[in-house]
Amino acid sequence: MTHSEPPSRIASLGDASLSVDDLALLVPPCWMNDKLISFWCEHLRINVLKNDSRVAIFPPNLSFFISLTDDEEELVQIATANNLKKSELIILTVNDSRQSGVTGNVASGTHWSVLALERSTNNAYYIDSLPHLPNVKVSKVLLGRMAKMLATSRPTFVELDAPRQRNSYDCGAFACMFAEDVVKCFLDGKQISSVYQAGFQLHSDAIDQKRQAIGKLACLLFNEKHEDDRNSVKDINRHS
Amino acid sequence: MSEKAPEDSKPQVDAKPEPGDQINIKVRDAEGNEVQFKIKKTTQLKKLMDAYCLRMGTAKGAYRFLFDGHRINEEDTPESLDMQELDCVDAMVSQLGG
Repeated sequence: MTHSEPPSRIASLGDASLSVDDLALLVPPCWMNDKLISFWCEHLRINVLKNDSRVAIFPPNLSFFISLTDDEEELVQIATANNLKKSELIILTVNDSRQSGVTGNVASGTHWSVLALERSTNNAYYIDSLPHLPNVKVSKVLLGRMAKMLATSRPTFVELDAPRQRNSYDCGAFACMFAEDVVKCFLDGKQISSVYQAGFQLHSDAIDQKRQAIGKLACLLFNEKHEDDRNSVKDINRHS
Repeated sequence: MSEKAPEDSKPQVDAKPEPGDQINIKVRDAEGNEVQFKIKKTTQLKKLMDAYCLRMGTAKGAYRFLFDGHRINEEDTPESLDMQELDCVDAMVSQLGG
């Protein structure tokens, strides 16, 4: 087994960072990984929500971790660390992976979806781009965990009639879009149940644009970082 | 876990670290298996994460590490994250989906 060096990081945003290998997954028909989804979550939190504490967004790893632990003390600790009690909306990015006996650099999981918990109604909206809803099981596990974290009654599970993917590789981009649409719906002061109201039309290239938006954001951050580096070199030269 | 956890492979220095300068950190996988590492409080956690991947026989970067539900960055140190003795870090495998 080789222990190759991790590919170098090219863009960082908040808690997320991307390498060239991650960006390569933005090209269809690649499947998106947790780092791309995390990156988009951080974009929504920092650039769209401007760190608005009313909304908490769980990146895939955190959702995954919560699905695996039933330890009440630990769950409450995470809720406190993420300031969940005050949040009005909690968005979880969800994967169906089950970690067991993993060896080597093998990624697990096959599907992305989103779960949005609206505190005012205690409804948890399940938003999935596949019609057979493969992430229902893990999402229902997450509901139980959220109830423990928030010390509330179990949220009501509500399936939203979401736009569907027409291929076998777009769920990651759909999940990014779902999270963004839920955030915007909240910022507009609307109920999450109205996010994909009857008559909602998915623009034909909306999903490709979502992939491109992630790539463009990474490039922007990459360029900004290098601009800073160049400026600091200039500063050093100026002072020497 | 019968095997001894790998020590931090930092170069030996003449001065012994002050007591309290080092900290034991546990890394736990999804099945609850724990590996313990002793590192300096000011050592970047990248070392711990790389050592864990090496020990698990995976490529570096194969796991994502969480502390209190937050992802650990390579530059973070036990000190910067205010870690306490025997605090636990969770190692998650990477995920994919289409």
